[in-house]
Amino acid sequence: MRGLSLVVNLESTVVFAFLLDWKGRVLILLSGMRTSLFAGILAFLCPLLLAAEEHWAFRPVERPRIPDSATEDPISWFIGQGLQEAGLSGAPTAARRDWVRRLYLNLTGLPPEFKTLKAHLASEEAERTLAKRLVEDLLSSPHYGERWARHWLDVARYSDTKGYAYGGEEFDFPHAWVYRDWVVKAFNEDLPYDQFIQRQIAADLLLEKKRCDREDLAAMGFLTLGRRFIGVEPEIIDDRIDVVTRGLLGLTVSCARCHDHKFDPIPTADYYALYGVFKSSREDLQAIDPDAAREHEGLEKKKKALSADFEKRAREVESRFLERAADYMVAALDISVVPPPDFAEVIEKDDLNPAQIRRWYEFLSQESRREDPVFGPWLALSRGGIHELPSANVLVVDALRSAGADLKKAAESYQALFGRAVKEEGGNKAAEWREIRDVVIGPASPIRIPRDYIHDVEWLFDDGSKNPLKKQEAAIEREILGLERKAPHALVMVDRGVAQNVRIFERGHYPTQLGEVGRGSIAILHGGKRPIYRKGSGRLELAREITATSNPLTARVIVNRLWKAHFGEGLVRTESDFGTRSEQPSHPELLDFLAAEVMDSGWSLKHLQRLITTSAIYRRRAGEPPKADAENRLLSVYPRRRLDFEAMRDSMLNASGELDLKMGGPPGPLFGAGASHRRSIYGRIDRQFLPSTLLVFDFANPELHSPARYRTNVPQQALFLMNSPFTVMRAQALAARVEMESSAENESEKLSRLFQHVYQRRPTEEELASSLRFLTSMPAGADEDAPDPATEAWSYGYGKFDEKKGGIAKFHKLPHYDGQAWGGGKRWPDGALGWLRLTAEGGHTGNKVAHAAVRRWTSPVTGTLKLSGTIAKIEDCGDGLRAWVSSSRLGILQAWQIEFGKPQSAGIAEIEVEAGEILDFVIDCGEANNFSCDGFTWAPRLELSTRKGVWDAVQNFAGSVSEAEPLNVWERLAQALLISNEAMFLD
Amino acid sequence: MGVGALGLGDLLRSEAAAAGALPHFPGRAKRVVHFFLNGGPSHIDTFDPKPALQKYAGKELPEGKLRTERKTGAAFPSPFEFKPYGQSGIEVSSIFPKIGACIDDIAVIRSMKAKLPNHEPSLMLMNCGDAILSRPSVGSWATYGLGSDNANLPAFIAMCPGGYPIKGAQNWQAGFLPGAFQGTFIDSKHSQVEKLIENIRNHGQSPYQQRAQLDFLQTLNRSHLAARGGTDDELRARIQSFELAYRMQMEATDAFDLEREPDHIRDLYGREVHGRQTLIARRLLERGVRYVQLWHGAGQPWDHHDKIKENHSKLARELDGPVAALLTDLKQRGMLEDTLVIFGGEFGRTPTVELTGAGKSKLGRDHNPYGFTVWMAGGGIKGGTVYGATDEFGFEATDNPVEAHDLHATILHLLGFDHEQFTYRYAGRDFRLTDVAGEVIREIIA
Repeated sequence: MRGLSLVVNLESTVVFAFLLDWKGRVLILLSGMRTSLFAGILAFLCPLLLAAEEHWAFRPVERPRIPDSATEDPISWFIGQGLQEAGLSGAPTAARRDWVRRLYLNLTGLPPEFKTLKAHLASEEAERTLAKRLVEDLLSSPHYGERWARHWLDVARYSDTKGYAYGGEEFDFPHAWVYRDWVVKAFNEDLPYDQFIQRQIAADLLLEKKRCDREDLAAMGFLTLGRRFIGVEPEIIDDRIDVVTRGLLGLTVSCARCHDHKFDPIPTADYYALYGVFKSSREDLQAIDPDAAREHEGLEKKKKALSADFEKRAREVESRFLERAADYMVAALDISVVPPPDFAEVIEKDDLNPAQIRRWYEFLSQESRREDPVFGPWLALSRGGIHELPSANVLVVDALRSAGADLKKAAESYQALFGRAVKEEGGNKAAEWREIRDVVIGPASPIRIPRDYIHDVEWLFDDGSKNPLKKQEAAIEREILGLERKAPHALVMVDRGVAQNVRIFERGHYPTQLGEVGRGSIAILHGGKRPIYRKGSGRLELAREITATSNPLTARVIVNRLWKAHFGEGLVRTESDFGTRSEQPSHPELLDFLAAEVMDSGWSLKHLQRLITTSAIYRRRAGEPPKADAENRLLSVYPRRRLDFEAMRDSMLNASGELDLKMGGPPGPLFGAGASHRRSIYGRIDRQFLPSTLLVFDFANPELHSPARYRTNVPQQALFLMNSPFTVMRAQALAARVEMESSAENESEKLSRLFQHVYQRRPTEEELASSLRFLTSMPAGADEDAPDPATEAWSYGYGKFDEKKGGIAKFHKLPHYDGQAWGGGKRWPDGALGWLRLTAEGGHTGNKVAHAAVRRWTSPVTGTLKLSGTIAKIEDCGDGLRAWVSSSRLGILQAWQIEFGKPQSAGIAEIEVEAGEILDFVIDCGEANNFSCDGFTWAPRLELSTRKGVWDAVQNFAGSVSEAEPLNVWERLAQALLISNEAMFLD
Repeated sequence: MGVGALGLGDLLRSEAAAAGALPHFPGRAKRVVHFFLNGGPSHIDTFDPKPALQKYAGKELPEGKLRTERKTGAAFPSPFEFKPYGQSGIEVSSIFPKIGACIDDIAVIRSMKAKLPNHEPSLMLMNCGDAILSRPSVGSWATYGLGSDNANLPAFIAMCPGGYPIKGAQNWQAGFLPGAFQGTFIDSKHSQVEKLIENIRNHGQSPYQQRAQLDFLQTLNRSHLAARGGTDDELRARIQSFELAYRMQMEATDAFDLEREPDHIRDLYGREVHGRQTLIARRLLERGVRYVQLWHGAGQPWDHHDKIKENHSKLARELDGPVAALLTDLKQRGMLEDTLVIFGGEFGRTPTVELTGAGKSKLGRDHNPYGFTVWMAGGGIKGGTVYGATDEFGFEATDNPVEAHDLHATILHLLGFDHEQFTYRYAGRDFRLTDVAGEVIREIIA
């Protein structure tokens, strides 16, 4: 409630009273009522009206008083108070190995080595002393920054790619990783959180004031590395408002895009005040070290070529903008019929470009423009007023005289003036001409195209001009990407030449614009009175406001995020929504205490980490909470939980001895051929094609700011761990590591090492026994290779089919398997064997009859078989194919001629076979040796008719043995350990 | 008990239940199969006959043209014949004779509208309800609301032969819903199950060995659990998830193995890729999969800017048989009445002919978001119905225009949801598939 105005007369009757809400709107108007009744109404309404301002999150942070006895470990005191009030008690201290492992995994994302852990276990230090020492060690480890940066990257919706882009634009951000590395470094150096935020919002402006270094420009990736939304400005700005407000303040300001926030005191005006800040800023791609970047000739050449072409095309477009200035001025009079910023139709050279109309509109609709000497008369005229304002430019006044009230004529007069202004020096009217010339070429000109980052101005070009420019920019960005660490570039924000305000878009819709809002931020942060920013875009003012110690939200939000990363849940479980619909904090005083601590320590996050991780409750045993507190809000136990994706992957690579601890630099692929063995934070994140494994493991969706990760245990996670090449390779490496470290034949020693690497402990007697049982339960021999016998029956080759003899003259095995098909070599077509190829479902014949494709089946049984299958030619060109089934005992069993569009059923109801007999499935290009378009499908299936037994070409298809080497029993054991609950959970 | 304590099936159910998202009333449809003709099939050449174009063939249309992406010229009558089918006598183009024969089970919406003439935003609009912002897809919403009837298979599957359609996995994204509701992509070009579902096969061990390994793993897990009190839900859930995964390996192999279908059924669907993919869809739906989306092919195969006669005939021939076979097969199994079949693309095409840069006819059509056709069948749909209409020439939806939100509201209604009440709390707001719009099309509901 903002205010109450009250007039009371002598008879104690309220003459009238206004109640105003926090926006200054009149809520209630009362009059002629007895004072006593009025007081009653007021008493009823006040709590409701005050609710918003009284909301816990908006109240100033107050450092709670704690007893002297609690100063050593205040956190445990707060938690203890909560438990005591609820009549509960906390769990005892955990086993030392549990809490030490907890510290390692939470602070660095990596488990301790067995030997290190052993030393800690042997230490005679008191628990708290040891904890303090360990925490210091871990906080100074570079891996601390890697772990905590990843938490921040969830907040910052980090991705190495832009999402969908068009017009030949490069999909990868030039050097998103420069931002990621900056975040890692910031955590490691304990950059004060206020500086951390300020640089991410306004490093460019701080740099001007020498308040940071040039490499801090990378910090602005926080704003710029969101999705590109195919270049649609309101969506890009919305994403930036969202990441700043939810991410830093825990306020859902984006809700106020279309209407005042339904629950929180956030009017639409707040949203558009912030919109103005970002509208007055633009992106730029800058080298961190420009001098070094200039040394790369190829890049320099491309940049120069683009700049020359840009200049040429911009001039051409500008001359059209100038020639049609009158049309644009008239079109900008009614923005409601102009298409909103959107990805839509092609713009041709002779079209009125909607982006340019909008630019004129945005230029003319600035409130300050009414007093503008050049456009004041135009605006007056367009409102039906007179144009002869005292402050007006006399050249304009003169020119408009003949137009009268005709807007079109008036606009043409302006256009004529613009045309002359470029040439005229103006003699004694030089100042007046300069004012007009500024419209054409000045910094705020609505005609001149700023020579800025192409993606910032591309909408002003017609498609014919835009696309070549985008392609050249893409080539530059690819060059930069290729240079990697040799020329780090950052996608930064800088202020536009002239800042501007925007008007509120009614219902979030651009074409319906209401009143102008000055650039500023959120009113509730200032007792309901929004400050107006006057310095450029206002980004630095915004950044300072967010990090002002008088702002209660920023500190509360970050300490809550830190708490969540340690305890699985925040003190407030709606981590990015501290508004009136948020959950009450479980420990409000503790939240405020931590917030006060972080601010009073000069915004040191490491200070906070120390407070939390050295507390006694941090060493509490993990387990199940009591029924009275089933959700463990009071923290009577430490919450046991599954490792997140990154900690899981890193731990597995660590156990197998393969983890590459190199820090920073360009990302590498997480999965597949050539996958990196570096820590997961250095894996490439492509928001457009996010690997499904990441999704399955609850990775933060990089599309938008992500407040928290989901926690699921879906069976697809188990499938990945049981079957993926990633897990299998870790198991192999781990088994090999153990083999190498141990003396031969000592199984107990090998097992012990295996347990040490995965669990950081030795196996128990029971575990040793069950492991040995597992090792010996497999019959000898079955162990080392146990290929599927059905797969073994098939082989893949070629030869010439001899019709007279009824079989393949000489069978040659195909030499190469590429993961999909058997063929002549790595390349397809192969130099020697041409197009010849066999896949699971079919293949391609060779280039001549001597190279017929042969799928061979060697019978492991004697019995009666049923053959089924269909032969079809894939393409509608070339000539036909010939196909045969032949037996090594009986010769040709059947033959077919195959034409496109007429698939033939290749079935034989009964075939008697003897063990060792060969059936060949042969297909060639036909006598004419015309091999074009000779792809085919033919996947024969053989089924025993009397007893069970199926050989299916598709299901049994397999590559060479080396492709999928069977796991030996040690590897199978190693895999089981790697994926077990003990390895995957944090106790 | 947190979400973490649950397996997939439980997760799907409990998440929705917690959010109050279980069906609001008994749905008419239990499952959905959606044929997505990506690229933009021409309504004028398929389900929306426009004889008036004949009158203006080669001439400018009298009412002028709406703005399209590329240059178009004169009126371009359909090169295909239309004829009435079934009791309802609804006219269908000669390129879809078999679907035509099923018309009495189909409700044709001839007045669909999208917003933009570009593929990407229109794909997002039709699949996720918003052209630009990242939102969950219809299939994700449906599985979020209804859960799965088979814990051993993914609840939402998107199949496309040959690779991704344009916009890739975003067409079946879970957006802000948990990742478990994201569609599972399957490249139906393959027929080996391991190429169809990620990590479904193990190459290093025989099934016997893997079972032994799993038994050993569970021994470790069980003693780990016992040492921690034996009742931790999350530890138990994870033990359970490995058993589920092991069974999934079998179940998926079974669902995708068409050899287990009798010959007459395989012949009914056809042995080509679309026949195979459609038959797999039926096997999945039968096994409790909730939402199957069948794409025509990688990229945007239906995008025929030129030679529409040849190109549309070719693709229609690939699809006509399989779609009709599915309708027939579902019917004979008694599944059509609670399976909703959807058929359509991201927009339609212009009634005017597309021109080359030099102004020559390309005998094809440009994108047209102003009016196009989508049809639905089964699952509570009133067959033999036509709803809405485009203008005389098929340029713009004029009678009862239907926006994506209306279509989505209707789909949700058939599944048992009031689209205005079906929400998910995210970023401080309750989000709907239909945003702040959408009306159920009652006229096409039986």
